Amino acid sequence: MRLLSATAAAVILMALSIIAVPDMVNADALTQAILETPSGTGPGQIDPKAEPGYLGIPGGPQVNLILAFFWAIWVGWIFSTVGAFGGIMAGIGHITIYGLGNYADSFRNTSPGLNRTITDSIRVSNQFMGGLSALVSTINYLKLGRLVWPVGLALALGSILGSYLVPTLTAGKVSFRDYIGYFGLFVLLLGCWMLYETTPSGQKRKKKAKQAAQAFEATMKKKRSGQTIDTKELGVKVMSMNLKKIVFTFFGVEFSFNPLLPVMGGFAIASIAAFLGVGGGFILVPFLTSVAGLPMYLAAGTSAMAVLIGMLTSITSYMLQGVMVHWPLIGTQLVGIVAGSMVGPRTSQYIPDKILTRIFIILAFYVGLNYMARGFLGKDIIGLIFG
Amino acid sequence: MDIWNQLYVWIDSMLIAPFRVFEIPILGFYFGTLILCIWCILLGELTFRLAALVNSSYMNRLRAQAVRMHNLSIKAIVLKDKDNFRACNKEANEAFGKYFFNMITQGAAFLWPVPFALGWMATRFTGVEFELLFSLPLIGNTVGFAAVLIPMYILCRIFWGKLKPHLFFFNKDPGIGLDQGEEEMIKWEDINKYRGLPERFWQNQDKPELNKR
Repeated sequence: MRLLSATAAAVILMALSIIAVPDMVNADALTQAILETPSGTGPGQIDPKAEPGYLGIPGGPQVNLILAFFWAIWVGWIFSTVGAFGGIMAGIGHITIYGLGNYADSFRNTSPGLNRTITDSIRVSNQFMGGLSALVSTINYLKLGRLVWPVGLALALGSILGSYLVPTLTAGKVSFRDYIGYFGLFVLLLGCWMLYETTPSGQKRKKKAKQAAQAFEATMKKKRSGQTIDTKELGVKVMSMNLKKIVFTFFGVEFSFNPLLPVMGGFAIASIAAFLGVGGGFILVPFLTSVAGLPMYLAAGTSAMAVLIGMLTSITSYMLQGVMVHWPLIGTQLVGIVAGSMVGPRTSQYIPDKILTRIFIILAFYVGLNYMARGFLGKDIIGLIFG
Repeated sequence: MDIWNQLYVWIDSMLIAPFRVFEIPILGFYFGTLILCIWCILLGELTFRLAALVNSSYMNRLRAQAVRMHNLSIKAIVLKDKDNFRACNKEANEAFGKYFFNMITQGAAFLWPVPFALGWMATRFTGVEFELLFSLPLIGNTVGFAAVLIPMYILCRIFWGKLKPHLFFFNKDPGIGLDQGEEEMIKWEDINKYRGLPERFWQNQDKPELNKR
């Protein structure tokens, strides 16, 4: 029976994947964009006789896979020690380190089509890096079956909307400058949040929860057997439900949330994730805990479902728009991430948390402001300051 | 020629051989893709096991912190202590967040061979199109090689999961899942099954400090 259900699941996945992948080899959009680019050897031009580079574009940058491997070790190091900033670093790699951003930007005036095609490729590559890897672990949570279906479905509905609309409406339409500007804004906001967490009020908020948890743990140590629960109040019971408010009791304790919030939250998180090419999981879990008060292991499974559905929709939608990626680059980076994750726990103990956080705040502010300046003003920070 | 193209030339003859086993081209293509998927799964599984071996103590520490706070939060809710539930649940989620990002790197360990396989197939099969039985909206009536490799990989992974428990070496789980390890997590099912929090969770209070990184 289990084998049958696994086979049925596989057939469904096959059907989904067939829908998801045909345009991977469809280079029509790229070929068209190359044809529309003026021929020549100058900036913003394509020399048809030049050796093929990124995505097979004649004269395109030759991505240095050794550099990509070492950059990915750094990304893996961050994933294993700091967390959320890893996806941002993967994005910085695609935009700046491998030279793809500058290459896309060089076609700004001569070939907007090629500019947008390369920008889309950067966005999808980012999403492949974080998203596909996250899928493996999210599938594990799904297997455990610990989901709060109404919240999960509400989130998934929002996620599907955001993950479908954003790629469909923006693929082939976002110039590199727009993309880098918004990517910078996101990184800057993340930097501001990290900075806030180091301020006395941010620390106080964090400490409050920590101290409460510790005090409760100490109390619990004194309590031993003999604790009884009213068995009538086991699990979750929905008390009242309307479009504005769902009231439920969890082991007899009353909680409530607005059902529209998961839909809107799922939509907003998935839209941002799909536009920038980042994963949404790191925003979703705290969102679920604070909005619906879900316990950790239920929030993990429920957000896993929303991330899975959002990612599949987003990557499928991009692929259906004919967006291409450089497969060996993605593979090399995945290997680098694994290597970095093995180095991370062994080296991070020598760097105090505070210093690590400060380094990332400075990095977030520099990258955020620099990308915003490049995107919205057309000059980087150094250029703006020194003319 | 860059290093990876050179590498492709070296392994190309090995990877293309299964595609030539059958005389009927489509049969050969499916068989070759199947062998390629098996390579991807084996390499991914071995990398995952290596990473799990190297990182297991660190992962277990992160996991234990998340589980410890989660267990406390469940005890709080059982005692109808909403504020402490919120505090402990927040801490549990924070710890889970760290664990989650480490799981992403484990996912990368599983998946890295697949993009390389797609990259290799692109050098051999770009432009080859497979006719579908019926036309699909947005797709048309043909698909490319990736539409064979990716579903076949997913199918192989599902069967690999079923086969693994019966295989020597692979039947030993690296034990880094959220539900595994030295500290037991209180599960919803347990509370429902025992009509309350099982006695062992009330008695199992004194755990070593696991706060340090």
